[in-house]
Amino acid sequence: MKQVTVYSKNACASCVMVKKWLTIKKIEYTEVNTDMHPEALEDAVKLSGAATMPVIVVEDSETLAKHISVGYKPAQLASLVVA
Amino acid sequence: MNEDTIHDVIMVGAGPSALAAAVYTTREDIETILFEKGAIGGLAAITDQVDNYPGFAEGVAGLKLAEQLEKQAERFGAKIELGSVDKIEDHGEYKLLHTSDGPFKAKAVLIATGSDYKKMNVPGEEEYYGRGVHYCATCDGAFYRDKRLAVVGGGNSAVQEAIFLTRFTSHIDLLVRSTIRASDVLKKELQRMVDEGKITVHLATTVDEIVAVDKKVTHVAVHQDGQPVNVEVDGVFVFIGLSPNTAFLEGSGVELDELGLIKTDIELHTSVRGIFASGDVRSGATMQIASAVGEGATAALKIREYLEQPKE
Ligand SMILES: Cc1cc2nc3c(=O)[nH]c(=O)nc-3n(C[C@H](O)[C@H](O)[C@H](O)COP(=O)(O)OP(=O)(O)OC[C@H]3O[C@@H](n4cnc5c(N)ncnc54)[C@H](O)[C@@H]3O)c2cc1C
Repeated sequence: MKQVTVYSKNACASCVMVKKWLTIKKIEYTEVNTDMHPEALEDAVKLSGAATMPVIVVEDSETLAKHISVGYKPAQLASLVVA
Repeated sequence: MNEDTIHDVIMVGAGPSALAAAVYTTREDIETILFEKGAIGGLAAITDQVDNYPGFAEGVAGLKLAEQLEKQAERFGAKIELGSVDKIEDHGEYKLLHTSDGPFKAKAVLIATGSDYKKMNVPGEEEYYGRGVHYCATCDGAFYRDKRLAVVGGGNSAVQEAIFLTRFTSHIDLLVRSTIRASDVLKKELQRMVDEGKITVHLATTVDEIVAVDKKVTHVAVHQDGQPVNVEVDGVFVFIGLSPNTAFLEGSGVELDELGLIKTDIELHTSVRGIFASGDVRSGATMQIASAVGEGATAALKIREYLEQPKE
């Protein structure tokens, strides 16, 4: 089982696209909106090492392995969440 | 969907131009599929505020305009596929599109792929992409609250985005290769920011390198009036123009101009019958949302005429 968390912000086209892509693929996700929770911005930077949004965290609930994707990259997302 | 199905029209890109075209084609009951590899709404979706699109007296957020265009096209039945078109082959009465979702056939094709940000191609640019080097102010500006930024470029986009970024930053150095080439309205606004000490403009300045210490961008090495200078910053936003998204047309027979933009006739027909082009990707385009939308509408009506013509 994969757990998907999307760190997003409001005026962010790539965030909209990631959420749209996950919805079309029927993949459930938890959204952390960093405009509503500014303290989470730092978490997103720590996780990704990047100063950009969105940050997508895919965690395997059995192995607890965490994979991070930054921005809207459908091919990378597919390999992380569908596999 | 059967691989042998020949669709009425496939649009490559779902920026303002293709979305506007799709509103027209679908309202005419022309089956329409759009392929979008990035953000629906194209460059408009990543623009903070659009103040010159007619009908919005107070201006409109780019992302909001993009969402409305998308909803309007979908309301009449346009289907948007999230994927890329990688190659187009002309087979006369149908065009074969090689996409990330497999092959698709269509009687007519509209290419409205716009353009992408130009890179500076200097050391450090690729290495620190997303980690100090950025191309989208609305996406990444908030990471630079109370920090110093450099914005590279002197055209409308660079000035507009530098002004937008002042809402986060402590200071912006605007690095301009020659002189400011922005509209008078933007120039006035820029002058106000300069007077308030929020932006410093450096003319005749070329960027040599983006330098980082411990993977954190610390300064931009530039040449100003021929002299090497270091500009201390925490991040760099680059807006030095755009290059057209036409590489995928290699081998398609669609003719390009010397800048790589698609040549069309007055009816927006390209050199290949049944393939049309509109918006920023078209040679002679004025690179504005209003004109991209207008061209989309024209292309849609010309596509309808093309589909109605008896085929020999
Ligand atoms: C920073 C900035 C600010 C701007 N501000 C304004 C403004 O205030 N007012 C204004 O009028 N204009 C503004 N513009 C210009 C405006 O955004 C463009 O003129 C307009 O978006 C062009 O629309 P388009 O549909 O032709 O192309 P685009 O908006 O570029 O859309 C093309 C789409 O095609 C997609 N695509 C490309 N290749 C493929 C492929 N092979 N397969 C599938 N999809 C593909 C792209 O991902 C993109 O989404 C601004 C531009 C920038 C960069």
